[in-house]
Amino acid sequence: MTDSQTSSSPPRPEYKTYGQIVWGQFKKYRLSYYSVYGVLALFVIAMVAPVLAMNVPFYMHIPEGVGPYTQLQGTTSFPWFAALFDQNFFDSGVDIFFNFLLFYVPVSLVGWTLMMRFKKDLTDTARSKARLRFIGIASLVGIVLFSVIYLMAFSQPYVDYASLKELEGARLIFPLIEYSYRDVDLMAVSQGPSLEHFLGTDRQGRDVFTRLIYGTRISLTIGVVAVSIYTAIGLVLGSLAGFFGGRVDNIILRMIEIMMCFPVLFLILTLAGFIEEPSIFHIMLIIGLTGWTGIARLVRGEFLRLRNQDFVQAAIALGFTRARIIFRHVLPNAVQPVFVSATFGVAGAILIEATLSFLGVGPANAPSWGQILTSGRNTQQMTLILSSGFAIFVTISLLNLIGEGLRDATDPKLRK
Amino acid sequence: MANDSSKTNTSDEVILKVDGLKTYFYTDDGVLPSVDGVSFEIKRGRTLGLVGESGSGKSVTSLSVLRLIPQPPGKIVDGQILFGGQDLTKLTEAQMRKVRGNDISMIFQEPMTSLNPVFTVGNQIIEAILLHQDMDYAEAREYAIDMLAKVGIPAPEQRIDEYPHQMSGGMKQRVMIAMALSSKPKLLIADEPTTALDVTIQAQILELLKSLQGEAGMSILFITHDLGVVAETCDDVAVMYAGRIVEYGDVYTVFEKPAHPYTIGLFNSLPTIDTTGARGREDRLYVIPGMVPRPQDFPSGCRFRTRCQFATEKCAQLPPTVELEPGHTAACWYAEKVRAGTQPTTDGSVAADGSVAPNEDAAEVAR
Repeated sequence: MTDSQTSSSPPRPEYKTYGQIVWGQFKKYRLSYYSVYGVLALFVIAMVAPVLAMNVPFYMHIPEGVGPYTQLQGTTSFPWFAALFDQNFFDSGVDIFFNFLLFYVPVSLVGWTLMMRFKKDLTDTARSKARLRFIGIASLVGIVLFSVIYLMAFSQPYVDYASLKELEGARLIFPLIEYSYRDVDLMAVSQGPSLEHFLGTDRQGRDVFTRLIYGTRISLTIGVVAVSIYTAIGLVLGSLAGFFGGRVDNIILRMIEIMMCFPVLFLILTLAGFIEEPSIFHIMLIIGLTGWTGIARLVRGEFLRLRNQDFVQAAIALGFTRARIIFRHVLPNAVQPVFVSATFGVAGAILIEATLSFLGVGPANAPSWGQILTSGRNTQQMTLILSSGFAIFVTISLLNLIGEGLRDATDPKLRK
Repeated sequence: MANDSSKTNTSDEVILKVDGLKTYFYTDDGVLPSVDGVSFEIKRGRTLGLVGESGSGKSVTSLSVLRLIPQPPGKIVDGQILFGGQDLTKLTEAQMRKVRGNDISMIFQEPMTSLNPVFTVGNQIIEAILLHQDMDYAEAREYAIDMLAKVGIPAPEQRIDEYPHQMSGGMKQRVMIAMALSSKPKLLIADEPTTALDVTIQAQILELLKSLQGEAGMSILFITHDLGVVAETCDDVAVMYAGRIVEYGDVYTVFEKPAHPYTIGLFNSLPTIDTTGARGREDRLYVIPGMVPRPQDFPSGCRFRTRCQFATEKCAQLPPTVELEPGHTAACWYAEKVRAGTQPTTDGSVAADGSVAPNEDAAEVAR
């Protein structure tokens, strides 16, 4: 055997992974690239919503013998922190989840930075490996912690903190906006913008700006979860159809065609009509169960292309099981177009939720943007219509811009 | 299974015995007999070369052994594939998975596409090792590095973390070989392993296969259309034509005294460097007239008769398999005469242009 390769070989060129190539391309689409930061900003807003707006003070000191609550007299407390996980204040899992992130994300980031401070002499690969492991462990710990917090179901007795503010000698430090998205104030119904209420109030006297901020949580959650549900369904069904072909393919294709016969919006409206009091989880589930056809067809197409590739045959010849070949060997090769489709899907799901809320079949109690829009329409308040419409518009545009950038970045023919 | 005897290089122990294998494809154009009654056997430590044109069914034969035929449309309709006392055609899919990649490994023609592009080569070798070997991850990684070193990949500790697109075709084929041999198989099926590689790499890969075979005492089923490669690597050779084995025997006997008109045609189709002979450089290269018929158009009787220079009416009946010497068989009515060069061609000229002579020089060139 010749040893031409073993003799001092010239330094081999740096190879980029596929992810690095796509990311490099993606950066060249400036608008899309900045949109990523826009969406990140939306996530941060969703996360820090209680810091911006909540009717519970960070810090509270009540002097002895003052006020209606005897148990609070002469105490110094931090009710805001307790209220974050209090299911009297936040009754939906979505809010508790984002509140949890509010603590967890900064703690993890600080932890990572500290770790890197102590281990400076890491190579790039070791670093990325360590980062992966850190993310894995952190998410696992996070999920466990969140479940524990959620299941423990903290709750405190109701206190009207706003009334305590007026008391003599009491010191309370509130968040930026002193309302919660559920605070009904019948003395201030359908107001216009003022210093008190930046965007006015709706028909029940709730602060619109607060609801808009909390609406970010609802929209993003619905987008991500609904798309995750239908992507998962689409991936599995598409893989099976494309890999096995024949009868399996036939059955799944017929299912897809039947689903596609119905206009999706009307199907969703009908399904939502069956539920007496739809929560956002119902909406996510409905969107998830109706939206998988596109992904399934995409993945099926990729599988049809990939299943006759030599590496699949080689994997069979090595004795791997079918399930392993489908989901571990072929699927990673087939997911690339799914990412693009899913990004557009998130925007679509947010829009569907807004539509449902606007039509009055959306989540009944959640502060969703569509609901603000419809209440603005009912009371003829331009601030409500414009603000919620703008929020929807910005979110959808950002996501679509990302999707478009991603689509062009993954297309080798459009390489810049 | 007979793995008790110490590993000698060769022995009379039969590792694989294929008997009357028939693999048909059921398509819209009718039933296509891609493999139609193929029998051969491979002894321990020996290499059988399966030779034939494109479409002769050699790949389908090899895929049938591992039961990798896409089903439907393909189906093994008859015959036995005896491997270590088991009939592979009767095993369940789960039992078959234990054989695949473990007792019988396979390497494919296209190293470029045989590795999964999204995983590092190490990832893929280790996955295969973990599947068949009782090792933990760290051991498997060590072993994978060993295997890569064994197949001649420089700096395996670094190469193991590279992706397939960072490697050349020869490298990838070495990785495939490392993966296939990591389970110490008793039989390696090599389906045209060097066709996609350039000639110098070809030689290296063949050399590598040979040396690894000597070390491990495994048998190889070598599928190729390259007679030069057969001469270099194989102990026995089976010539396939249109789904049947037309000539089968020891590589020296077959190359020296080919008895089937098709085999002779193949040898004559080899280009030679010899400028003085009748088929010198100025001469046109001999070609077997016509093409391999499509499976749905296979003629009755001897399937080569439509292209054969010696064909008579008798050839419309299925020719017997004649044993010319112990271990050397040919499926032709006139095998003896063809071998001796006395069978008249249909146009009356017996080897007048030298193209049909039983060819010592062709055999020499091939060697």
